[in-house]
Amino acid sequence: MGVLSVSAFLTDAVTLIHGPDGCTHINTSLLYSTLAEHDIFRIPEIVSTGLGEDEIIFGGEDALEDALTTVCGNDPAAVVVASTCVSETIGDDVAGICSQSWDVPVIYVPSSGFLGGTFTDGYTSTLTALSSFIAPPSCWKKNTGTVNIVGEKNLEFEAEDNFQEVSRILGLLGLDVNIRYVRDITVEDIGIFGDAELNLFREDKYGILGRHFDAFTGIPSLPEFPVGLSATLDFIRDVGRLTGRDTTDAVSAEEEQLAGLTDEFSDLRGEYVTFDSFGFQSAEMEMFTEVAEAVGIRVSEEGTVIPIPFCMPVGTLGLRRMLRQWRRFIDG
Amino acid sequence: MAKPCTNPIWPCAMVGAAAAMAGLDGAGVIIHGASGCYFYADSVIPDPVNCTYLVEDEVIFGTGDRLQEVAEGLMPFSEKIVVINSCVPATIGEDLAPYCAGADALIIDAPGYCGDMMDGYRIALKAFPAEIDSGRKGVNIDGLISTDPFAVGNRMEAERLLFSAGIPVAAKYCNDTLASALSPAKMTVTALPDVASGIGQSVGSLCGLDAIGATFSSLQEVFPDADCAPVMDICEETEELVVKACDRYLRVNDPPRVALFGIAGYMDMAANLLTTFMEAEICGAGARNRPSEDSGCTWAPDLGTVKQIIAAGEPDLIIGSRYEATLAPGVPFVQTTIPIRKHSMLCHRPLIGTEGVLWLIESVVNAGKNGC
Repeated sequence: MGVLSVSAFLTDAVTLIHGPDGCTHINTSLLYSTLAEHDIFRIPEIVSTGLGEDEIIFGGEDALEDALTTVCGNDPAAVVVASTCVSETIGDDVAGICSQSWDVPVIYVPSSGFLGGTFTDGYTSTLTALSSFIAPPSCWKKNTGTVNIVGEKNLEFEAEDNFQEVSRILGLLGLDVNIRYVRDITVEDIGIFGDAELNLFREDKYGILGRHFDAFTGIPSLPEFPVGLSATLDFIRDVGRLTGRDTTDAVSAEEEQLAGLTDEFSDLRGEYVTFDSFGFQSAEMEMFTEVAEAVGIRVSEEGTVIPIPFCMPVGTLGLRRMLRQWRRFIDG
Repeated sequence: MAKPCTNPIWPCAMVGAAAAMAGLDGAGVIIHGASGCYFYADSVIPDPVNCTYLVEDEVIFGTGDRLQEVAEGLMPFSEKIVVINSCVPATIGEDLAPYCAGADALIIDAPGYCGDMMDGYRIALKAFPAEIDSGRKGVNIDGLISTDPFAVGNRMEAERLLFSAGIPVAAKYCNDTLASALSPAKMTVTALPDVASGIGQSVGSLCGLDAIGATFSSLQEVFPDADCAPVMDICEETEELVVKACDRYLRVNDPPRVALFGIAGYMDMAANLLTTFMEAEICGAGARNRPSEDSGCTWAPDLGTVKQIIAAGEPDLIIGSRYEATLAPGVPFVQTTIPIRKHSMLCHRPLIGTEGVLWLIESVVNAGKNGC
């Protein structure tokens, strides 16, 4: 599923899952239902090699070759091949078959459920694998005033909102978005990746993506979208530093936005809240405390219980939405 | 022989087997596999299922200890442990019997690569050790699979019709207690033929008016003390209502050009009703499961085939799932098949029996209407 959360958003590529139809069905169903929940009624093209009992016994490599021949015959821009638990267990040489000469580019991402790691591993592996479509440095344009948005969480409900907010903040510094890598782009679009002055990752806490793309492109990067009041201002300063831009006006403008935000929620001043992370989220509690203090809300165990959001609020817009939710909880 | 297909839209055998066994209260069902398999199955099966959550270590060093651990935890709450074996452990081929907490567990090999959901359901029931209790009164109901959103409604409708004829209900597959399901009566009526259990002697199905009439005629012979006349009256009244509604529809509409997608048994019933009473043209009928030889459906278990059928047929009414609604936006639509998204289905609607017939016709007649 981690692979598909990236590959399904390449609009002219096909994802081929090497396994029984049931595995592809599970992913098709989960992807479709998640997108439908976000009011996106689109069904990405995901093809199954349809392994049956015969292939489990005698090997599934022929089935993979047949499926690749069929899929490549339809002339997609690329084929992303994902393996499954059973195809890895029987030991099909998926990498070998994918590296043969095909009429269209074939990218293999090992992704067998319990043998291949987690959702995040599939997501990370696909983002790094697709970097092979980036044009060579000799083709890159310089000083374009653009930024790559890398690794958006495509199944996140707020994905578009978060993108708009980050675009707004970058706009304060006169920066535009180069490409959204990978959200509703073509394979050809990836070619211009090297034109950007900065790579902004959605969330790369452990630096896995950063290390890959820094080494591959040399483009400076920031590891995550801005989350929190001071973090948003720091983000502007960091972007300015890495792209050689003066941030004085942009920081002032955002400080005004943040001041307006605290005024907007002044009715919550003096209220008591406490935060519940359900023991799951690795929430940075300091950010919530910072927001509460800025608005004049007191944090106390007796206060209204505020559930920590699964996905952290991005930028000033995210904080506004979060504070509205706090208000709904406080007002009961 | 493997055949590539685009966006398969029907669950695998493991899901069908788990759904069958989880429908029996008292069975402690363990999906022996990875979290990915379990989470999907759990999302479509309304009854509790458990999982061994196999990871790399178990695949390399053996899955038995993990199964033992889960079975021990489940034993206090279960009359029988049922293990549904998924793709990888089935491929590894371990003997799982010694790892079921000392219980006489039922181990069902239902890896996804051995077939689809209906195949898995049948595999499970074939392995299920039911023994006919010749002293048990009444008739069994089978053809109930919990992943079908109409299953509970179908059971209630079958019970209602049998009650109207004065025939007691015996075992219900699979929506019953484990004890009851282990000791069925001799005769069985089938709600949905695609998931007939093979348990007991089949008397017929309740899918469509003709089938109901034929089944209750047979039941009258088998159960001389029963009085099937009230059911025949209900069928007659139902037909009158259907004729009246369809006549009214056809006075101001052309006959619909319909594409049908779903379980073959339902789709054949719908095709029969719509051609008989609405003069409908069936421009395509795609079955999610493999249709029987006498079915009018073609096998369409993937979106690639569904797209082709819709493109070739140009329907002005679609009966199917949200997938079809997404592929043909704007075409009047009746939901009969999973996935059912964006609309909640809370009440227990039947799609079999006379109430099922009425609901289907009502839905078709109302499908294209806008406003009050």
